[in-house]
Amino acid sequence: MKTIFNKIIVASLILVAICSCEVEIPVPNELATNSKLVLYSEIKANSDTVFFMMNRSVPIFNKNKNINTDIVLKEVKIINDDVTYNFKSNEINSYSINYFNDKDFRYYVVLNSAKIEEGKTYTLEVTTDKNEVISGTTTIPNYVPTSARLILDSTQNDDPYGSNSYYEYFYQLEFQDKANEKNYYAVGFTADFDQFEYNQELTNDLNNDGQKIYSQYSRLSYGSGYPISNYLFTIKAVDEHYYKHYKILINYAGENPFSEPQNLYSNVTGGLGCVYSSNLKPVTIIR
Amino acid sequence: MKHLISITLGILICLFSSNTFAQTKSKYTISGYVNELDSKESLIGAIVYVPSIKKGTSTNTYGFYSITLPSDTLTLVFKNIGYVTKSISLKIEKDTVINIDLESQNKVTQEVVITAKRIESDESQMSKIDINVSDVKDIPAFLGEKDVMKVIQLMPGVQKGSEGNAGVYVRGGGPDQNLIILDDAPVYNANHLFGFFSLFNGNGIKSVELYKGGFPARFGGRLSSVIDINMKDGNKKEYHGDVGVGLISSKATFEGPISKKKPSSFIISGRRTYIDVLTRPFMKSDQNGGYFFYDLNAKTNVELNAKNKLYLSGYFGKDKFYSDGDDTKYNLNWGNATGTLRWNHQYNSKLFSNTSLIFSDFKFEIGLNQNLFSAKYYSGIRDWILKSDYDYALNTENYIKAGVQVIYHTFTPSATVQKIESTTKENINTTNAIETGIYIEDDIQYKNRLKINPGLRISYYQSGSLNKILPEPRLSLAYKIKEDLSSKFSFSLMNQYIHLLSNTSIGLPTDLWVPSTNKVKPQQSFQIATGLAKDLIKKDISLSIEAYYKKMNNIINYKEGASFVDIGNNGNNSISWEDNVTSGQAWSYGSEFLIRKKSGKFSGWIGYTLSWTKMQFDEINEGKTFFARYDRRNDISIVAIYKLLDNEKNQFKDGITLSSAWVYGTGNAITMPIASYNTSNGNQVTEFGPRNGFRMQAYHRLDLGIQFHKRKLKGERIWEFSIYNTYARANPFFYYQNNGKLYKVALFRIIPSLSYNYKF
Repeated sequence: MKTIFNKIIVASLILVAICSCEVEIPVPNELATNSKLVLYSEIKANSDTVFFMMNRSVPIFNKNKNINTDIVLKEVKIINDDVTYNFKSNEINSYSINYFNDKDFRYYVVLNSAKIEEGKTYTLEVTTDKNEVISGTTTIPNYVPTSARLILDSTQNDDPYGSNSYYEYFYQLEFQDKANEKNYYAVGFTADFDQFEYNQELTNDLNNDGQKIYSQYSRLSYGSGYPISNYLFTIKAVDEHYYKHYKILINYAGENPFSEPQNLYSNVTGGLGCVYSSNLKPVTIIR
Repeated sequence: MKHLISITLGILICLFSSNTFAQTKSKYTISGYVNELDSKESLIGAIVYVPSIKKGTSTNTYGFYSITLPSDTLTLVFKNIGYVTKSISLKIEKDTVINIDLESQNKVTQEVVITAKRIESDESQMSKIDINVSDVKDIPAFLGEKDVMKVIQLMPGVQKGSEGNAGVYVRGGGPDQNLIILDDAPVYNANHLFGFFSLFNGNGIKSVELYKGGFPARFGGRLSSVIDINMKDGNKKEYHGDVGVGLISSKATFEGPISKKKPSSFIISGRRTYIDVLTRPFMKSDQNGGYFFYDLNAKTNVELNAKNKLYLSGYFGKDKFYSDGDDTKYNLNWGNATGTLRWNHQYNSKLFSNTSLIFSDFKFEIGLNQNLFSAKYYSGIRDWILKSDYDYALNTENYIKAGVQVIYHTFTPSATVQKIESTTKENINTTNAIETGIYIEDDIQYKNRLKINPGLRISYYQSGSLNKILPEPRLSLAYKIKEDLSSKFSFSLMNQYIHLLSNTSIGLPTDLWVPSTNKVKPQQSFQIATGLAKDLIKKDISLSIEAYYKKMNNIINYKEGASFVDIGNNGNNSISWEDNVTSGQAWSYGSEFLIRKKSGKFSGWIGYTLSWTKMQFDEINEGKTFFARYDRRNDISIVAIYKLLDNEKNQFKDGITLSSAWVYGTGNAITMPIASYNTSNGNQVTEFGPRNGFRMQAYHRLDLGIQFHKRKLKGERIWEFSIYNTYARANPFFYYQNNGKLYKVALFRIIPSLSYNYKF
């Protein structure tokens, strides 16, 4: 009896395992979407050049496997409150960054004797040879903190699993906000350990208008065995679109089943991506 | 707060005094307890009825009744479905105590057979379903585990989350909006094994009531449902037991009297799975890991004298995953513990009270242990509750219930403890809160046609600097159109001060209980419902149809991209759970139909729900409205039980019980990835379609079961064979894509199971 019962148990458990299965199912039409144009650009204050990047989204469930991801530009317009700069295809320069995807098309246009002005609103509009139009609008931040107080602390710890010490750096920046306007900031920390380390933290003045802004008390640690040799702090004024885009991107969870699905922030019309702006000036650090 | 108490006391005094003046001296009160004959187990909801004057009442949770009648010679009828009706004629000329023992009509088993207690059209209460505990034992079960929560899922208005999951979604509400009470103690995570089983061991349960709307004022603290579960008291006359062996677990129950001098009893019931033991032979010798859960229910009661009774009950259960390697040990544990000490006191023939001291604790823990390093993350909630409830049977027209409840919550949304050699780093984030409720309700019967239950609950909440006093008016009414047909209406406003942060909405232990704060407001719902109830009395069939509309405010959700792992200690940047959540609103509306045969050889029901549930959060889906994940347009359940039993001797019988259940539900709403693209820094990201804008395939399955009952020398043995998902439907559990192809994963295509039970 006992043997029979054991056999029944084992057989049933095996059956459970066998019964769980995955099945390929037909893709419903609602999931079969078309490719979209993607446009990214960070328009920088006081620069005479506007860089932008374009690619095409790749539909996951598109039944047409031969999607043309090429992009040929016909025209680029930079439009502000006062003037429109038109660039025909022969005035659009392209460049590449070799470690990025070759499907990403990187371009720049140079404003003749003009510069991106603080406080002005710019629209970047791109037209392809297929007459697809994609555009995004941003207002250049006009206030940038130029001095900040740094709180920096470091500790040297023994690594219980290795022979090297590891160094931990705790830092926080304090700087002044300008009252009566919405300001967004990207605080950067670039450290030269034995390899390049960069931290970016985003903050804003939504609850501290016109007051002191404190970046988070952050930590950077590295177990190289020797201390930091060089570092650089930056405070970049950014627009709301930059803030929203990077806020999501920094914590991007993708298809992590334990996170709520999330699309990246987009402010462009005619596709995906983001057109945002920044203003960076030298900052005096007081310790 | 003082004003609040004064106002409520004032209302109470006015109600009591006005009715007292109205009462004449020619009326007397008949009171007592209704018990089951064999075990002396008190019967909940048994009817006490006087046909000649068409007046009646029913027993409360402790089997107590009280009815005030005119001085006359009257016949009192005591009845409960499943029991032989008893009638007593007496001349009413003074207050009298009558304790009644009802004999089970169908002595199939020794359990207390409690089916629907009243005729549906007779009750003012709507949106309430009594779960027949014997149905829980008869319906085919997943892997042979009898589960009351899965029977609740078969009722209209209640939806399950995903395949095999024991979580319930009532009228568009999330699993956190269900007040699950076990002997007065709230249960915060009612699931074992990530929701495949609930923690309620069917052997120890006496009664289960589900309220989906029209909530009586005595219940508060949740928006969507109340699942009120009472454990058995234990047999006061004889020792009995029940042993069951199933494919993945075994369980045992033992009950009996404690003392022959004073009426008293105990019951103890335990269950443990042995998945870890069964899988051990298939693991390598250097591997040691597995999973098991266990739970233990215990209850004892003693009747101190005719007017005082004490009950002490408790539940303790734990799930444990573990992996012990040579250098590293991991564990994942979660569990609930509850304890309830209750004192019943009968002041006089009209006034009955119950005072309870309750403890409830839920804790989830992940641990890692290495030689020099150990880390632990845990979260949980602990409650201490003191409550006192009063039943006052003023006269045949008014039955007043009033009470007060104080809860002291301790929330631990996240805590981390790290140890490196002898250095310990702790980051424990706890919050305390006090939640108080004071209520009064009156069950009013007006000229045999109209029954009204107006009620008011006033809740007070304090946590940190947040202080809230919120009123919760309630109303239920029923108008008898004909003797067996009534129309009903209900209205309720509910507040919920605690929230469950969930990524998956399937009741994982990783879900965090968090309090209302200055940033996160209390949840609130407003629900109206109307319907018809019809009884085919001779055939013991009831029909009901209800339509409802529910609006919920301040419900919370993780912000897009956030999850529980973001909360707590992130380097030195402590991220509060409040920073990761966003508040929004939800709407649910629909209609429900239920036809039910409650007793006899053939019993069962057909339930159908047509519903819509939508949500809106400013920071999710670009602020656009979207369907809830558990929005289900159509939901059908058909349940049938047929008993072929004979050769009755004592309480045991030979025979066969056949059962089947078929369910159908619209597919869950999910969010699907539709494209990928690169950002400016070269990262590849996913473009998702609209939030919950895609429907999984519909869910349906048929379960079949057969039980063979055989009378033995000292008891009864039952072999049960059941098949879950008989026609092997590949119901989608989740979808994923790979290289442009869409796959669905189905968990259980066909699961046969076998179990053995012996009762003595």
